[in-house]
Amino acid sequence: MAPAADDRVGPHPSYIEVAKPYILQSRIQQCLADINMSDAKEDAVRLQGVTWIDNVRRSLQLPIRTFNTAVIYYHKFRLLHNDGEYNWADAAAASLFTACKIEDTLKKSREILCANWNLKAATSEHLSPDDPRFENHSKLIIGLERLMLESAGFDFRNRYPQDLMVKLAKAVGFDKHNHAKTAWNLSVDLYRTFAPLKQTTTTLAIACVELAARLHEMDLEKIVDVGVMKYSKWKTTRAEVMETLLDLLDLYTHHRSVTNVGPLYSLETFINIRITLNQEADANKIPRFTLYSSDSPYAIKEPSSHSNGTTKPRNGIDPTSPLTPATPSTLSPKQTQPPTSAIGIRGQNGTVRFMLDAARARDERAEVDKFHKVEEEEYEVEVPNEAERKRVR
Amino acid sequence: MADPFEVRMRFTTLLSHLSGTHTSHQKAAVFALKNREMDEDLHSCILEQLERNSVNNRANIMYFIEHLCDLASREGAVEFVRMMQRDILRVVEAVCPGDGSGATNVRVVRKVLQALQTKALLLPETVTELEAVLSARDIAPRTVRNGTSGRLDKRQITERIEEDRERHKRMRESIWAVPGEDDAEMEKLWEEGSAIGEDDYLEGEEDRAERRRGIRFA
Repeated sequence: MAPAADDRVGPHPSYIEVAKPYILQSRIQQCLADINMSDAKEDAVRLQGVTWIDNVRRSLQLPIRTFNTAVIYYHKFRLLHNDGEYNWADAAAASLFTACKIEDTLKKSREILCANWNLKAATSEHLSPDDPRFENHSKLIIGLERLMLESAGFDFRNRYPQDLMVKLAKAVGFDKHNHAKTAWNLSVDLYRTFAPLKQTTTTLAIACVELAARLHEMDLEKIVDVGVMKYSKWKTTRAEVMETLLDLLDLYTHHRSVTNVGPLYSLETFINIRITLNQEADANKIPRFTLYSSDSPYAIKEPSSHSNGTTKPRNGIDPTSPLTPATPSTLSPKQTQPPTSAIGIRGQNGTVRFMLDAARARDERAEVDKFHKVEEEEYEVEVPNEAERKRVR
Repeated sequence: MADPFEVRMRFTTLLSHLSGTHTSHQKAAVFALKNREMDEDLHSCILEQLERNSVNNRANIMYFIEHLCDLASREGAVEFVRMMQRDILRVVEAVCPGDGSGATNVRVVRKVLQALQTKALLLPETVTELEAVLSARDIAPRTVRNGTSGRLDKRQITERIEEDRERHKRMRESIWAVPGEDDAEMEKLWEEGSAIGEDDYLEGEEDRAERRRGIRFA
């Protein structure tokens, strides 16, 4: 009897979603291509969203670490959800709401929405958070919270580069009111790029200090890879710092007007710094982006080229990929369809587990596969030729 | 036009039903502002209630006064603030009676006075004078007295604990708030941050290890 096609031994192995504390450029581009986001659109949504978060958090007097966390969640969410699925302002509000909980600076979703409203309305039109106007919107934001957490893989390890950056700035002798302020504002602008997804805290802090030094035309002998800023001490590399510096300069050369530091300097200043750094990178053959071990050297398209949002073929269908099409959650018909969960169909067939340790997930997979993969071997056995039996007549 | 007697009645009710929650204070303050033409009357209501109610309730009214002055100064109803400034000694004496039962409220009064000073609703000299009065009252009751201003009964004690808990919770909710501009937060980190130490380097190492793992096992 032929065995059933779906012959399974034991319970479903469940799907494992591994949290990624660092996402490199090639993966970011791949994610965006997979959800059909063009560069231009993505830029616009990213910058508008971060500005939204920045303005509202200042109005609510939230500390910078809440801002940091919120923006990271905003970025991660947008890597998995096409912008047709949601309104970017809602995503920004939801990411701020989630970040407030995580960073222990609790704010109700109504308060966030109200703060945003009051920023744009005249004083006479100011509302209070318990105004019924915010009722439905507030529920939408709370609903998005779960998707935010899923997009981030329930990973609550967050980065706080400003802390280290201020220590470094003090140590290299920055003026508290001048250079240090610039460095701080650079660190806020930094979150308008993808750098905080790609780099460690130390790299981010060092890059901000260096760029501030360049903008203030300080003596770089004391800044680049020396003394308290020595890369080997901080376990970072020139390549990573360079990548971050160039990411920032990309931001300033293309979107100067929507940043904090941009308007304070001329476009030429930024371009000149960029030329200097490009020369250094060329001379020392520093790659523009860090690559994964599995990446080919051509994995990354240069950001200056505009993609038309053409989808790249994915490398096989990975069942643990978060991009599996999902079933829409049930909601009242009045509300627009919210973004679909990354769990989706998989959640109906088996459990989805979120893990932090990639090695452990891999080992478990290897172990479990032993029972699930049917291995067939074909081999030939030599059978001695039987001598012709004497037929009995 | 609201009947003055009724307004007084309602305000008195609101005052005597103040609890630890923010909403009860908000409601009463908004009511007072709505009826600001009767500010003199409402002010005398406050003084009356202070001299009449339980120790717990007086504490609640003290907090309420802070709330009221804040809202009043923001809405330009300076009369409330002025009257409070004029009668602040009487208020303090009522909230912290001299017979020793007021000791429970000394901390409350100090806190509110400080807050009012910070908001420039009370002069520093006034606060210093009142502080002298407070220290005199900050004594435990030496004799046990029965009577309305004597020791609290069990129910009142529990109530007071609950309300204090509520207030502390609310206070902690805003402890992280930084004033609007980033400068203040950066200054704080600058002044209060520790020097770079072993821990920071260790964190750098751990971060790198984690990132490298992610790069290898993408």
